[in-house]
Amino acid sequence: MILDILRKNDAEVIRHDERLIITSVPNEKLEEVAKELFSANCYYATGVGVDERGMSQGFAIYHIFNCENEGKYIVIKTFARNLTIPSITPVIEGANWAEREAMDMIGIKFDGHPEPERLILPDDWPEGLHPLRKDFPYNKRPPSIKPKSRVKKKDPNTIEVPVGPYHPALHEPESFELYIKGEEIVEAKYKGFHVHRGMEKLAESRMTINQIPFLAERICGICGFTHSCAYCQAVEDAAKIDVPERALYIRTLLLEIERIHSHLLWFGVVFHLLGFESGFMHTWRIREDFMNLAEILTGNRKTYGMNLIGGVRRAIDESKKRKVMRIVEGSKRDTVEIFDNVMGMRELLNRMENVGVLPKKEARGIGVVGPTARGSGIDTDVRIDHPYAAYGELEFKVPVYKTGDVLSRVLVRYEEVLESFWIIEQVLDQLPQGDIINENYKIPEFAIGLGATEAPRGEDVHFLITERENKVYRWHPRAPTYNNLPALPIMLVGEKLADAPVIIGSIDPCFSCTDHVSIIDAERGKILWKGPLNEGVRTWGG
Amino acid sequence: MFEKSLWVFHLNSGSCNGCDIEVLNIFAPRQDVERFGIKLVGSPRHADAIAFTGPITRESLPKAVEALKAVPEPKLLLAIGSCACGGGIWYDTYAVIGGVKEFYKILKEEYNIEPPTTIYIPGCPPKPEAIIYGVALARKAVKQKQKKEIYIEELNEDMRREIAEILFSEAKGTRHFLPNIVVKTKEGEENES
Amino acid sequence: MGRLRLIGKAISIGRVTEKYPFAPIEVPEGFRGKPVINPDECIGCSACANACPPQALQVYDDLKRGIRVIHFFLGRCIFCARCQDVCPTDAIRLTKEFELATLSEEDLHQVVELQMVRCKECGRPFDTFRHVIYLAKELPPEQRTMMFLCPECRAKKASKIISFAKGGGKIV
Repeated sequence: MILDILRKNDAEVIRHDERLIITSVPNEKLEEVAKELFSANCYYATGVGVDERGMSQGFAIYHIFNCENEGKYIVIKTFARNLTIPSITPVIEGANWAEREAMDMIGIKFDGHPEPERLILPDDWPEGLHPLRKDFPYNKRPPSIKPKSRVKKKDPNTIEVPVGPYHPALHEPESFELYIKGEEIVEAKYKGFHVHRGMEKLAESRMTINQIPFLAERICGICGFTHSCAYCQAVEDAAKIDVPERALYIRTLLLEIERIHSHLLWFGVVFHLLGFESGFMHTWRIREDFMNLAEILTGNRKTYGMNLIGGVRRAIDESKKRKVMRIVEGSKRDTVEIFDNVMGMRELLNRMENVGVLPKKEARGIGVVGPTARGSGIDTDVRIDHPYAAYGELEFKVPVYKTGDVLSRVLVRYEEVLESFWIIEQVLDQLPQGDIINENYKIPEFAIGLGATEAPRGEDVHFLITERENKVYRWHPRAPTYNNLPALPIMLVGEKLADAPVIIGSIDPCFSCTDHVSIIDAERGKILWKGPLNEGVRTWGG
Repeated sequence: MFEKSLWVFHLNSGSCNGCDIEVLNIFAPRQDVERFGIKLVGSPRHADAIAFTGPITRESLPKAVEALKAVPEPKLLLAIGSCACGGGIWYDTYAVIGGVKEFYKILKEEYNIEPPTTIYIPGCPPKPEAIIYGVALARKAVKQKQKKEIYIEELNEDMRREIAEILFSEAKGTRHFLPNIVVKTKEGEENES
Repeated sequence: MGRLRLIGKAISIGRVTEKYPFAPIEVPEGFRGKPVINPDECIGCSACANACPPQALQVYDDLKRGIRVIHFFLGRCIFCARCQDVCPTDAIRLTKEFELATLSEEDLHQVVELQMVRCKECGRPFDTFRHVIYLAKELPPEQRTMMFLCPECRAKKASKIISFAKGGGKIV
């Protein structure tokens, strides 16, 4: 069915196998193909702009769609003519940021884009300099220029509450403007990408292909191992490397440990935002056991550093297996007890029920992923739709709730933690013998690969083009929060100011995952709920 | 116990959150630094110390300077993690200033501010106990363990003799098809610097 | 009532806080702590500097003094242990040290300086003594003849030998 759509529109198939279809379409047919793929229930994952002057001709953009029904990823490529490509944002809303990112970093113009504004680069970056072009050296630092001032219209009935970038309630630098009338939020704006570090450019220049797993792990300190796995999977896909089974099972074990620690962390943060400090302390107490477990298995509490292309670096022996089992059993009892108590507290539930609702239709249109989508009734999980690592051989359920409020997202994550305990037990039972790494591989030049994993926050997609001599030509990690942030204005508008922290916290935002490369302007509101703002925030907030 | 309490303002200048979660972790029950009188405050004006993480991205630079200026003297800066101590894995990219050393240079040149007393806590991310050790060092409750180490190898006769031995002890027994080369090398061996 | 049961749970668990820093804590085997270069084992091959992702290990040659400097900056280290993986003589190893805080940035450096061999033809230092000895032990005796030439002089010599073997030119 997908192939019919593609053939009808003069698509040239570059690669077609059971996981991935890569095609090239002419400019004029791009919008048509995008519209038909979207109606065939493929949602938009990400878009990657590439400077292909070293490979073939000019500049190109790759749009990536996730077709859960057929279990495939579809990549549509098109070349720019005179640096211009027709925009597909009028048809697919999720492409808005991807195209703005390509505009900033490569300099492609998108015909018909509704808001072609700067997204990723800092405010004081000069115009006309595009970092991801091949003739821009990665360590060149152009001088600052004075940023353009933004004209804001003031409605006398609304009050603007600037929050951030440094604010007591926030752990990451991000800045929000919430426009309120009385107690109700009418508009929310977000200015982010304070965490843009230039990682994609670094990976293309100074790093070799086997050093990038360590770079990918530091995209985010909470879900780092997922990024490193997705990168290794992308290279193994591009070069057709066979990873030994034992390594796949070890990767699965560590991925689930990471999911548990991330969800427990999130519960602590949400309880803290609701004012329930005991819940914060108890969940972080349970989480500490998993951090110690990670230290025993990998040598560090976070940033496990276990992945290399072709496998993992350390093996797991019998005594470590026993430790894992003991900790999992103890924590399971503990977690269930704490949560039974919490769910019995009516005052907490009142603050979470019917707050921050995201309807299913809007969620699909934006392309939200992960527990945010599963809380709104969308049954999507990369572990089931596009199985990777050892998930194809394990049995587990994916919880889906349909209300779309904060409580449903809490319940989704709680059940995922219980499922993770069950998955770890299966992995330890079925752990096969054998090698842990396969280092006999050759990496072809200019091969395209795609690696996708289910991070604790949602689907994480890495797109990769290899180059000769152990290097990478283009690498684009798309973190899950990138797709979830545009859902915030829908969830926030109409709610009371006091509910905003919980709503924002409920999508489990991870700004450093999102800011790796470009600037994202998301409208995010964080409300002030602790007292007067200090001068530092006022001088440049908003 | 530590002599005085310490009120800390947490400033993230573009880090990946690994170090920030470890900073939050020291308030969890396992480490519990609140028993030492350390607490996180919401405003830089109330703080004695800044917990600084991140390699200072270009976008967050002016904001970090403002927040730093707002902390009253005498202040202490805890540079936590490899990004703050030396710029981290991306110390030389276009979007990053590169660690507290470069930050202090900019503070001095453009804003004319003297650098504050700094404690460097390396790690990626540092263990919560390592952060507690850093704070204890600031409060003079423990002694510093990490010191600079330099080793300089001296040039001596043993090295040359060993090389000559390896080269010629085995080569003597073999028939080399270009004996000139061997002889020349032997002479040249004595003239080696 | 959920809250009362939570209090009961907290009481039954008891005290979980560690006594650190007033009592030491143990770290597991295989913990990735501070890397230390053993100056007696290091041969100056710079495999670690090639593998280090943040370039915390840097190796550069001081040609005037004829020494190779291996410079390790602990502040930028990401504790990934790649240097330990690739070192041929096991000279750099990650210890269990994690108490690494310092009051000055100077204390975060470790420097090892090794003497270099000078080329017989052009006199330029091209490799450390220790590395040349290490390689010489690996090579069969016939192939050790050009060990004291720098790479450029070696290439010139090799081309002369080849042309001589093919019947042209002379070896002087």
